[in-house]
Amino acid sequence: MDININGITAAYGRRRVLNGIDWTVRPGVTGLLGPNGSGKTTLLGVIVGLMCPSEGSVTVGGGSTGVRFGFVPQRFSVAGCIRLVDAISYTAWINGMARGDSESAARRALAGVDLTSQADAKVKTLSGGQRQRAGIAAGLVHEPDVLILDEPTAGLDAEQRWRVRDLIAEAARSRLVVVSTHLLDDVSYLCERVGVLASGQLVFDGTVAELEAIGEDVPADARHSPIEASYERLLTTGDTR
Amino acid sequence: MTLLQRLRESWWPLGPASVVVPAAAVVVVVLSRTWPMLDWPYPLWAQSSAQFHQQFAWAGLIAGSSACWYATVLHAKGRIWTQPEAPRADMPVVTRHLTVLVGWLVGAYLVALSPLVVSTVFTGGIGAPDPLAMLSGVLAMVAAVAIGYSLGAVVPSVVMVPIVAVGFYGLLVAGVAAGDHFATVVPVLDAEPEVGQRESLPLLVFRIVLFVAITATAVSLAGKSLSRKTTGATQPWRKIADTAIHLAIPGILIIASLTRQPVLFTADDQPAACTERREIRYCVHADNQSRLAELVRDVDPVIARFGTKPANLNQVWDQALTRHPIDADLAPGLEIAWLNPDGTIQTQVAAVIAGVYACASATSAAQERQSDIERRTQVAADISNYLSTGTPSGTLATMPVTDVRQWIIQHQEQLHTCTLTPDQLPMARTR
Repeated sequence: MDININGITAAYGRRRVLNGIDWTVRPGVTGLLGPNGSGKTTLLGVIVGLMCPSEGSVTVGGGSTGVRFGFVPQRFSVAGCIRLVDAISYTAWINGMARGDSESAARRALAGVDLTSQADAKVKTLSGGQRQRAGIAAGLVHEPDVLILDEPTAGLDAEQRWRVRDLIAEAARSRLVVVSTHLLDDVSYLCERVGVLASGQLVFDGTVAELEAIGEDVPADARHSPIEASYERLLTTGDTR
Repeated sequence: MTLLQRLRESWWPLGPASVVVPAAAVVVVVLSRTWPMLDWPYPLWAQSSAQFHQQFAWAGLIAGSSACWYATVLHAKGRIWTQPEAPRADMPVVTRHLTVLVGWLVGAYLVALSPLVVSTVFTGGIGAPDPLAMLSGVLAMVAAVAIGYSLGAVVPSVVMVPIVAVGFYGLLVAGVAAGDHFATVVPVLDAEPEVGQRESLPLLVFRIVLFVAITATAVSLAGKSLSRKTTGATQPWRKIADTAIHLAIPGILIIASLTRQPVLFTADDQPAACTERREIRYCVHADNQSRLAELVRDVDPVIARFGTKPANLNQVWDQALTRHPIDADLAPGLEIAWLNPDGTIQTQVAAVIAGVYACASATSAAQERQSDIERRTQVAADISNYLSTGTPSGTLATMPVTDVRQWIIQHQEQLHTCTLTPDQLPMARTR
């Protein structure tokens, strides 16, 4: 299953955020890189249908109907007074699962993100990392064909980041995953392919190795990993070699 | 599925407090306001039926506000469970939530009103139940839940909860302040039907249609607002136009209804049941026939203490007989009695035949001393008190009952016209 993005243009009022994006996202984990304000969140919103583009179209799975999305936005909320298992089972129900199956699916999803022990706790008692994993459980509980995550590791400590990365890698075994991030480590660890957005345009589309190759002639120093050097060159010069 | 499982299912996913607390509040306010009616010996079905909309006052506010809170919690911006293109994100979710809320809140309302219905049945309520009045009240509660939920779904912020509460309160205050002018829109009437009255059929039908229209509009708006979140942004003017179209039908109904003063009650034309005692004719509405003897028992001792048939009293009528214009030939010497459902009977017979009102409205001659007028007024009040209690007091305190009765018979005309001269006053005789 592919996601075909054809000539997408999107704007907030008069401010154009995406400018004629053409991109094909293939199975596996695809990273979406870009500096703040480059249009990553808007593009993800267009892909999942939360935002209407002013021009262009998005086709998922060749236009087949019934494709299920799982979406974990950068900022999401869960009512603090609710039990975690209820929040996730409600997510399963609202996304089409029978009520009778939703609680067992929720417990499975929570087990998948290592939150079994927190299942019956109120959401307000969860830590930041636990909330992020709960978000991934909500994105996966209805077993979507496509999982889209916007900055899933932002604000997490190193240990939590590793756990979330592992979860995403696990989820990608059976579905297409798109991860928006500004953390190059995430891309190196998780992604097979990567797209880079800058000022509303897709300035790179290729494998991680191809991205790293852009900056391979930059002298290595303590500050730059190969992918960082490539990314910096890409954004400052637009040089894709 | 066991009862406990069903209950758990009904408050899922927010937990029991989300519905049990407001439902309990509805029960408490309705029960506390209807409790005094439960031991009324003569309950009226028209009044018991009317409580189904009269008790909306606080119950509607609680139901609307808590439905709003429920919606804001579940539909707050960025909630993780509203996944893109979620198949149940709009009307299915609205239907489920409203079913739960109506089940709990309107169910609590009905539970709280059931003791009143049961007591009316068991004490043999006067008249017949008014199912349309009951239905209009239940539908008003459903509409309150739908409005609160819809506002919470359209603007999913907890700030909406107090706004909705104040809005409902304002609606009730406006309804009371404007008398019956808003009776077509506000479920709570300024007055309640009494014996011989029923709520106007056109008004009830109108309210039922209006509350159904409001509920349908609120449900549709809630579904529409939720579906937009998953189908993309829409132009602001389009949203405004959509909302205006949704509001058109209830809006037109409300505006049209406010252009004319509604008739609240219709009075039936039931024949009177009458009897006569000491030349006084007592008449009650046919529905109050069982209380005719009670009316006589209540008034006759006053006449007996008076000592003779008062010249200014010919008949005592149940107030329920006075809703149609009374023939002028019947009016002289006619006094009204209020036969209240709580078992009390109120009349002004003692005061009228003692001349209390004659003194209150009499214009004194310019040369009369103020103290003489005050003395006459005081005598009338003391006689009224004696007629009611059988014990002379005040200016009559030193007179034996037989003397009081004799004095009344001798000065009846002056009493009724408030023209007693100082030498005719009872104190003048004892001094």
